[in-house]
Amino acid sequence: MSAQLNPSDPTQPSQADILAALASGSFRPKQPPQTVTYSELGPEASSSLVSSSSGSKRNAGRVYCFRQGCGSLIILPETGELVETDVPVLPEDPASPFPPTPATPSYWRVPTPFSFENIGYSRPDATTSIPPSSPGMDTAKGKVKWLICAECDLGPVGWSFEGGKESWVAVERVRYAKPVEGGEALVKEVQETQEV
Amino acid sequence: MASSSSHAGPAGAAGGPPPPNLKLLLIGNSSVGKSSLLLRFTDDDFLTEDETSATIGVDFKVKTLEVDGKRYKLSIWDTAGQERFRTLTSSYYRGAQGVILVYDVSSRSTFDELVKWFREIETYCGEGVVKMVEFSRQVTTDEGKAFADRMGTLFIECSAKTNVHVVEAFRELVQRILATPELWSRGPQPIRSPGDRKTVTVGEDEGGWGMGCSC
Repeated sequence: MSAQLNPSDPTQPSQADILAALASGSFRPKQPPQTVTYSELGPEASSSLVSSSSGSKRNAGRVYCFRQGCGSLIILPETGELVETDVPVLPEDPASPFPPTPATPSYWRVPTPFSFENIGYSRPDATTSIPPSSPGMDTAKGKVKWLICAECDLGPVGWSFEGGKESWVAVERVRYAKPVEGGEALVKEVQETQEV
Repeated sequence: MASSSSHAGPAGAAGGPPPPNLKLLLIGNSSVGKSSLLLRFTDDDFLTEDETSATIGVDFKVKTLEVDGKRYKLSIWDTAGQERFRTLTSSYYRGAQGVILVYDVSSRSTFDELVKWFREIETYCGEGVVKMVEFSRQVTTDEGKAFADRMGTLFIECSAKTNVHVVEAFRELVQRILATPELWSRGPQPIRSPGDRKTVTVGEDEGGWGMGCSC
C-alpha cells in the first residue's frame, strides 16, 4: 500500500478514479446473478416469487438491481412485504430501462433502511408530488425520497419519506433470482440466507 | 487506540441476528467531489444522464460489507453540501462511528483545512470516532501519512487500479470501529444487543433517517 505517487506522472489515477474505486470494490458481485424480471414470469410471478409462509406475502428469493450487468443485491428473501395497489406512484421516464407501470402496481414494503442489503436514498424531492393514496402517504411527515440502486444509481426503483422508516420498492423495477423448477431452490435459498 | 479487532464487536450472525449497522460520514471541502463516492461509480459506465436520478442528489446509501466473515451494514452519508456553511449540523454527526476525510487533488488548501474538520469531528463525534484520510497527489505520501499519524487516524492509500486496497480500506475502517468499544455504546442503534431483534430499531432517533438536506 505504499506506492509513491508522483503528481506529474500521467499514469497515476485521478482523484475521481480513486474515489470511484473506493466506492466500488467488492460491494458488487463479480458475476451478475441469474435473474428474471417480474413480467418475464407472467402469471407465474405471484406464485414463484411470493412466499406466503410467514403469514404475509413476502419476496421468496433475492431481489436485485433491474440492470442485469449491475447485479447489486437489494433485499434478501422474506424482507419485503407485498403491497397490492391500484396506485402508480413512481414517475415514468421513457429513457429508463424500466417497463411501464401496470394499472395495478404492487410494491415490496421494506420496514427500515437497514433492512436492505444495498440501496441508495435520494435527498428529499420538493419538486415532485406523489398521489395522495400512495402507500405511506397517510403517515408521511416529509417530502418524498427516491430509492436508487446503491451501485449503479438506477432509479427510482421505489420511494420513502423524509423522517420515515419504511420504503416501497416497485416489483417491476427490480429483478429476481431465477426460480428453479418446483421452487426447491427458492426454499433452499431462504434457508441459506438465514444462516448468513 | 486499540490495534486488534479480532475480539471486538458483536457476535457473528450465527444465530440469525441482523448484521450490525455502522454509520460512516464523508467529509471534506465541497470542491473535493466526494459526492462521487456516493453518486456515480460504475465500472462499465452503462448509465446515461437521462437514466439517473443523480440530479436530485444522493442522501445516503446502505451497503453490506463482509469483514472477518461477518456482515455489516454501512450507512454512508454525504455532507449534502452543508460544508458550504463551514459547520455541519450536529445531526449529521450524531451516532457516526467512522469518518472518511477527503481532500482535493488540485487544492493544497483543502488538505490544510483537514485540521478544521478534525476539530469539528472531535466536537460532535467525540474522540473515539474512527477517521480515515483519503489522500491525493498534491500532498506527498509521506506528508499525508505524517498528518494521519499526528491526528491518530488511519491513512489509506487507494488506487483505482488496485481495487483490493479500496476494499481493504473499508474493511480496515470497520475493523477499527469494532476495535473501539466506546463506539458500540453510542451508535445510531443499540447494536450491543445482537441477540435481541427487538432492540435493533432504526430511525427512531429524530435526527436519524429523516434529516436530509435542509438548506
